[in-house]
Amino acid sequence: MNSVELFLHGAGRPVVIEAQVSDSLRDVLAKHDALPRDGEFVYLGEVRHAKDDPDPKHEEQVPADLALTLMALGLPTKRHIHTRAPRVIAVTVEFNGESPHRVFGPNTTVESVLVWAKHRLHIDPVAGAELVLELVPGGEVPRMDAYLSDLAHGRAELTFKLVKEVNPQGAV
Amino acid sequence: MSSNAQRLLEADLADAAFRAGLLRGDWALSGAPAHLAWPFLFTEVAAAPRPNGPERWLVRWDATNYGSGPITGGFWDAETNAFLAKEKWPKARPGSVVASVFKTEGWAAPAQGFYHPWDRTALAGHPWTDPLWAWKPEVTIAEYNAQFHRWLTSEDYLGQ
Repeated sequence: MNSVELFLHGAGRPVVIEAQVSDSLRDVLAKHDALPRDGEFVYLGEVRHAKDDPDPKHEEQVPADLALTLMALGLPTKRHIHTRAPRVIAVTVEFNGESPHRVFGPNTTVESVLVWAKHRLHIDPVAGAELVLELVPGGEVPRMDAYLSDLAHGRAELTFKLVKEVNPQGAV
Repeated sequence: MSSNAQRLLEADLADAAFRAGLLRGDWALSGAPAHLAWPFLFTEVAAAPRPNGPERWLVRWDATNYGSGPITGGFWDAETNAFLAKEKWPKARPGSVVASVFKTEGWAAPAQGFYHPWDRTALAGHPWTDPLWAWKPEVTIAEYNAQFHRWLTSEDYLGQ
């Protein structure tokens, strides 16, 4: 396998790119005008918290070494490149007057934040099945598989509100 | 010649949002994008394990007017090549959003569409204008499949 399909986040909207596994990450990012600037980092793959371990204690990641090849970095498996990211993103979730706070890696999924928030707020998974995260400000309800890096647009903090999903009933 | 809707759909099938979910195993596309029997396409959406539920649900999408308005779809029976019989549609906790979206009685297109503002068969006569939940052009085929994957892995989903 010489060529690999990858997903590049952080340089505009997420895009699919093709690259050779023997390429260095620096060369791939340069080709797509996506090299990190001062104070920015590159993270790989994705962080998904398991439902039975929603608040892991040790998950700080090391930024990717741009000099290594895609193969050495495990990108044929990890697939996702998050460039121009802060080291961590501080997340606050507002719900019923409480606002728990935690830092996450930029490559963490919204689903992982939701699982963590329900755990921290002692919300039963069944009773809280219809609760979703809404971005503050803006009111957008992001997809569960969206990454914090895609929502933060370079910022190092995000605020969500935990809201009940609604399927509006029509006036038949 | 491809229509604008067909070109938009083919572009979205190649886009990062759809490809990432596909490679993650959240959904699969039946057939190659270049061989779609327009306006129809089939995806298999992965579901949470339930004692009486399939691993994946086959959905036939009717992508007519794709990109300019909501599409429609329904769970599909590959053996009979028809909509899945209504008693075989996904079950969900009564009163939940999942039960509402997959309900098979009491509306205009039971067991042939989804009772949700993103499905055009559910829009007729329904003033579903809340911008938070309404269809908008950013709702691509990836958003449909991601949303269905979420409902089918929800704690409210009970199987078949």
